[in-house]
Amino acid sequence: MIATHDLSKRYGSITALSRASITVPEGTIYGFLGPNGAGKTTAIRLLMGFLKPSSGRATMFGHDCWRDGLAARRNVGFLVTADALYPDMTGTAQLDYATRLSERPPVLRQRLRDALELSEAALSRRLGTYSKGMRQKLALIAAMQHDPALVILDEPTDGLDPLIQRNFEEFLLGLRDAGRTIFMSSHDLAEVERTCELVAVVRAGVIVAEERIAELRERHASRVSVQFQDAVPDSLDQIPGVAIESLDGLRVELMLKGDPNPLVQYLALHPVVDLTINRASLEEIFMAYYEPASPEAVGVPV
Amino acid sequence: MKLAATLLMTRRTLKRSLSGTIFLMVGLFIFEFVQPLVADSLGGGAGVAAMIERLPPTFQSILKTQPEFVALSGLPGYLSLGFSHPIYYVLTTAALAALICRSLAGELDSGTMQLALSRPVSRWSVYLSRLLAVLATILIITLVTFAGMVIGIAAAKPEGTLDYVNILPTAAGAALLLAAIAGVALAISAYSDTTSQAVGWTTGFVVVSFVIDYLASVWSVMKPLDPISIYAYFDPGQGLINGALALTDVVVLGIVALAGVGVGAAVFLERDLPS
Repeated sequence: MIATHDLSKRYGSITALSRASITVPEGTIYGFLGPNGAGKTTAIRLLMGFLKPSSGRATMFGHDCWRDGLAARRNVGFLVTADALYPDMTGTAQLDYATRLSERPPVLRQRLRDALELSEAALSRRLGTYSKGMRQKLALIAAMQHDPALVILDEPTDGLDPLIQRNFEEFLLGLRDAGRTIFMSSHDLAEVERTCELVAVVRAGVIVAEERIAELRERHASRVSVQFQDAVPDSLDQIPGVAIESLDGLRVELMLKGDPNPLVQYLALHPVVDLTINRASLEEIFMAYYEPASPEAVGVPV
Repeated sequence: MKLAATLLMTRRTLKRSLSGTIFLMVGLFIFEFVQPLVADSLGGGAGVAAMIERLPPTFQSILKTQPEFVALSGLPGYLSLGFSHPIYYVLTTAALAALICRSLAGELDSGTMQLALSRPVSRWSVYLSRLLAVLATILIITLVTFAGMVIGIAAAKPEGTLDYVNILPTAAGAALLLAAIAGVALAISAYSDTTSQAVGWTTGFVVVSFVIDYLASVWSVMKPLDPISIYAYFDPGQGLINGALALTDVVVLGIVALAGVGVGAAVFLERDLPS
């Protein structure tokens, strides 16, 4: 659905995106992660044909995003920034304008309005009177109301309250189940964890990881907390995949990577009072890519 | 390129500038409407010539006229002053520059252009929509200008006669001057990242061009530079008095207009959108 091959964007001596190669399969929700200035928005703007690549290429539906942008964008819904809406238009007029430019009926408008709780009264007002959250809701409806096969969202839930955010996530999952593809960047890792199957992590313009969240988790260490009844066994750190993080009396904090069975079998031989195993969260994995001082904590490949 | 989308964006562009354009057009209409009334109140061509004679030569140059010209040419000569007056230039240029800078550089700046460019709409279609809005505005300015003058003549019935056929070449010259300004403004706007940048450069171009033309008329040292001013190729007096429109004026203003539109298109089609 989306493919980039060595896609780069340079501004003079500054490289905003360097040789990015990603593939977004059809029918998935793909998360694009990175802090501010990492290159997420640059990548999205290259996909939309707003920027000309310095080298490499990006395609959507097999069409080059720069040279054949019209065909590439034919079945795409893109979330413009909330500030990029016409302040002199009413909400309804803005949506109708977007519909006419898309040349497709707004079949999802009502469902989106319900999910985002944007009332008819609000839509009859000029956008100049909208709050940031309301503008974001309207921009989301404008992006998706025509039921595009591919939706590209840059920080989609920015400015939405948590309840609406959950409604919107449900909506995205429904779209995915209906075969649509969603490519989204987000700062909200919990949101990405709830919605995305695949993620790419970008750091300083370079894609440092691209894989399924489940596989990403498997490759990274889980946090294990064990409280022994009598004494901490000496040979604990000799179990394959186990590293001791801290020791506090009879409580030991471990990092476990890979197969948990050797640890479980070992613990079965030693009386344990309390045991908790927490799989690495996306946030921990994500932070590991940005904290090179402690990559081994979650098993980041270096 | 889809014509329906282009026309939709053209309407949007015109609508966004509607209030400002109406305001300026009312001002322009009134300015041209009162010219025949003023001519009549001053006692026709001879009275106006006497008034102009009392002005210092530098002021006469601003109006691009001399008392004997008005005395000899009568009503058409006086009316032509309404098209070389700084107020006329300010009102017409403001209407055009505001439309162009706001709809091209302004929408690049605010990001509103992304709404169209994220749809199956080509950059050429977006550019063409602005160009059509500009052409419509030039047509409106020209119609309002000469409607004001004609209605003013009908209302004041000043001394002297105007051959109404001569309005056509004069209007064509005025429209070409506006087209040249618009072409340059389009090129500047297509290149600019912000509205203020576009407005600044466009204003600079118009002011410098006007000043060169003015200085060339009062200072012989500047005379060789006059051909680089677009105002050197607009002579409303020749149009209204003789019904003439110099081929050189048509060619130069036409080339400036087309070159500006072409450069603007080339820049806009290839440029990065500002973030």
